Amino acid sequence: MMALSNTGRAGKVPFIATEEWLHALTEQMSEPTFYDAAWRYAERRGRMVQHVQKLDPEAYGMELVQDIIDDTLEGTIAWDPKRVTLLKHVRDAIKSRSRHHYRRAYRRRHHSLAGSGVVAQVDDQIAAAHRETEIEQAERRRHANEVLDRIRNAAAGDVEVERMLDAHERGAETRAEILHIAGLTKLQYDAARKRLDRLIETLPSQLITHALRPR
Amino acid sequence: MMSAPDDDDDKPIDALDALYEDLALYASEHGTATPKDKEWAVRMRARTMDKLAAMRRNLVPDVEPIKARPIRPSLLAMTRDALLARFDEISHRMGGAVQVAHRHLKDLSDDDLRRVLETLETAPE
Repeated sequence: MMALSNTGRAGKVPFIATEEWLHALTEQMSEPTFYDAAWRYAERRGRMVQHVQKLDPEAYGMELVQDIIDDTLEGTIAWDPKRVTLLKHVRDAIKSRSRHHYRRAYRRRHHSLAGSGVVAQVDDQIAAAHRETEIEQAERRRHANEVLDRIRNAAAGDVEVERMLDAHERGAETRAEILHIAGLTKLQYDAARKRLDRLIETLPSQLITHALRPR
Repeated sequence: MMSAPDDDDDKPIDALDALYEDLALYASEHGTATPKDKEWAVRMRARTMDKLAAMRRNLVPDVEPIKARPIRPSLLAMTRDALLARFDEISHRMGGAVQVAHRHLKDLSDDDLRRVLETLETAPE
């Protein structure tokens, strides 16, 4: 019997699925809520990307889930059923790609080099790239702050949502960290998150216009 | 895991990312599927099943071709007449049990005859 997991591109070993791997994938993919859960996750992540790039989060989510399943079947991204569930694997890949999409939206193209003094041009470009990266970083931070401010303004008066936002800004990522920092009970947290979700659903178009305004 | 306190550079981006991550997880775990979502899920599942079926087919090992046993040297040494005589003898001995799918033995080459004899002589009684 071969290894259980697909080694993918990182391992540089051609991916050959085993019966056990195929069985695990078929079983988990056949769970009635699998695709819905993956898509809803991707759709929400798409709303983050929507702040910097005009897109339809629903279509973005569907496409992303499909791409990740295809890449998993092809072994481009490795899934080890003994380590994580298929849904967690898909969500992790969605998170990573959507984060990349969000950041990539700020990248700028460099001009091609020609003529004499190419080495000097390369040096100049490297220096320029560093400066540009700093500018891009500053731009990203400015934009993320604007989005957070808009969300905060929209949530003004909802103390629990504001405490959740504070917790995120203070670096809380897991549910336990949010509960601890925000000082919320599980029930308060669930209700606040539901309100925040509804609130954000009404924001994207305003935020895009705001984020992409001419500078 | 919380971000390092002195890692302020990407703090707003990390905060936004964490916020959307929290909402995405919530939606994934508690959301309800609309008929449109369900329809898409059915299509995706069918599409993936097709791909899995193709992958399973590739798992089936190739069937090794059956190699003919080598013909015994004693049969190789026999002439066509001797082979036909041996065939008659075996047919007679086995009665109606011998049936050859060729109406005329003359259509069989010498090697075909040797193969027939090899099969008849090594077949279990």
